[in-house]
Amino acid sequence: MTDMMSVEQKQDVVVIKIKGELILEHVEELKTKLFPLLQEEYKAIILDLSEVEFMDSSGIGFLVSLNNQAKQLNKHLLLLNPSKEVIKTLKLVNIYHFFEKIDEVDEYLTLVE
Amino acid sequence: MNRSDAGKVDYFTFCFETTAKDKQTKLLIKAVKLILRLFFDENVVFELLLALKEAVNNVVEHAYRSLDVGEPKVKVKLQIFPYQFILFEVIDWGKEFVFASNMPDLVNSSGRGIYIMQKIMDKCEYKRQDNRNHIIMKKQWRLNND
Repeated sequence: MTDMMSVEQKQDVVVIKIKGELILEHVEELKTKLFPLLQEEYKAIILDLSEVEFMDSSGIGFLVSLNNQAKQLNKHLLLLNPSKEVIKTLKLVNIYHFFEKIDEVDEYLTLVE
Repeated sequence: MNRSDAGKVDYFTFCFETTAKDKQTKLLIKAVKLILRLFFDENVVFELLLALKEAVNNVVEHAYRSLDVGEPKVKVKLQIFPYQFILFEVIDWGKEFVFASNMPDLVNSSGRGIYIMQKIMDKCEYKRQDNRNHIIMKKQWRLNND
């Protein structure tokens, strides 16, 4: 499980890459690791979902609660390159439009400069 | 598998039973995936697995909550009727639950599982029988999503 997440800092942005399956079995651990990052000084949290192969409704719930939390703290949550599986699942529950998406980290950095 | 092979058999039934816990059910889903791959392309396998995952999650998360049972169990019966339809039956021995399909608000972080099952499958029903919960899901035969 630990291998499925990596964290990288770029200026005042934190990029978190999640790999494999974003499912019930992993959500609690991801929350424990990611929610404290929201309290730090970062302006934005970028979630790289390009290598997520499968996501269930618990994974959707995790993204929604992370987004809610970020909004409360006046921070941006952006999805970086969500995989076709992630897009398909989010569209299935009509929630795809709810998230801000980017293709590259630089896209956000240029935007806020 | 081609159409002439399919004509020789009426159906396939596969049964799986394990402890209703994360690790065991994850393995169960992987086993079902291997079987589905023999019949369907990746897009169809993805959707069928997602519907099954939601039904099994429901058992793991809710069926046995605050129930004093020795070993919570879940059973999955998969039936494939080639060129006709596919059936999943998910059974548990936990408490009765409300099979509500209302889609939650955008900002709600839970409650989308049953909606997903119903969206993917053509038919989805819940019944309580002999102190067991049964979720039965049916989908018409499609080799791919084209």
